[in-house]
Amino acid sequence: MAAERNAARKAGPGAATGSDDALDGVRQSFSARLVQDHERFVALRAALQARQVPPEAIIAELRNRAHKVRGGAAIFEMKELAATACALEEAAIAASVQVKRGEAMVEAPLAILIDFLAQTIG
Amino acid sequence: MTSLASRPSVLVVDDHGIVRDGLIALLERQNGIQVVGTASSGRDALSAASRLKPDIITMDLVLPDMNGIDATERILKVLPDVRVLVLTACHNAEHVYRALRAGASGYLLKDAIGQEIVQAVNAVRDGKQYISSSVAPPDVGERFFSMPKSPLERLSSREREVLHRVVAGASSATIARYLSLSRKTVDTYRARVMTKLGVRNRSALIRFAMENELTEYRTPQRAAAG
Repeated sequence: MAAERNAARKAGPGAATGSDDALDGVRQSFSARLVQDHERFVALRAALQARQVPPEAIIAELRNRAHKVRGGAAIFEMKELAATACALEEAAIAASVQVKRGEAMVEAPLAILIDFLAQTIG
Repeated sequence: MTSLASRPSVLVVDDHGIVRDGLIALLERQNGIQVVGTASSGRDALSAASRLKPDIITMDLVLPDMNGIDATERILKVLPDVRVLVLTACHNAEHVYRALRAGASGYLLKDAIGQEIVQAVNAVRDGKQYISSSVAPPDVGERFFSMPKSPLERLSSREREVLHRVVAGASSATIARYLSLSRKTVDTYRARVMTKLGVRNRSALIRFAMENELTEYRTPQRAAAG
């Protein structure tokens, strides 16, 4: 995970002058967006716990957002993040067909992803 | 559209902007690969492919409007010389199978892209087939191209339509009204779908469809958390 954290911490403005620079620039943008992803996952967990919104809506957004994080992390070779997001995506798929307490299925993978993102973004 | 210098032109299809940008940077880092356009949905991919006539399309599977498999099939009907390289985070034998049956020339996982993208692009450009080593070893990968029909492919178009509506949460009565069929007929279709897919109940049916049908990941309603 150290490499992933380092990649995230390299985030910052920088002109991409060559193709490697261009890739680094996009990677940094992705890393910077992980802050927003982390915030959104935290908010979704709070909404899930408050039970004021139908869990189906939250689970669908968790699935969607986890899928995007997974895809981006895979492209930028943040394998552990990709695997952690993948676990949440798969749990959300399984949870979406549970008649009752489907939200319980996403609690642990969501907590793990939030924790991992918190460490990654430092 | 290959140029004099055999520089393959590539159309990048992915609904996630930053992934598109990353793919463009990765591809253009390689000498000789030229990204000529991007698309963010299945329908966008159809029009961009017709307009740009690229040599190769990198195609995500989960897309708005139309999934990547259906888009692949429709593009290849119109532009049979285009090579489609599926590029996805999904690692599921059914996905691999259906993509290849739709005419894709290759299947690459996003987490293998750094190591394999050049190899994959070169292979499909040269008319070969490519399956990511993280999906299957080469000797197994070749078998994907000659497998018999998958369960989903055994469904008729009407059965698939009923399946989509069941997955979307519609009751038999609602589906019957929409399709101008009797409820009994819809129930018969549902039973046939379940038999063909080898599932026993609605939950299993929905789960199978969600895992394999490549439906868009829609949020039913915006969660209230912000």
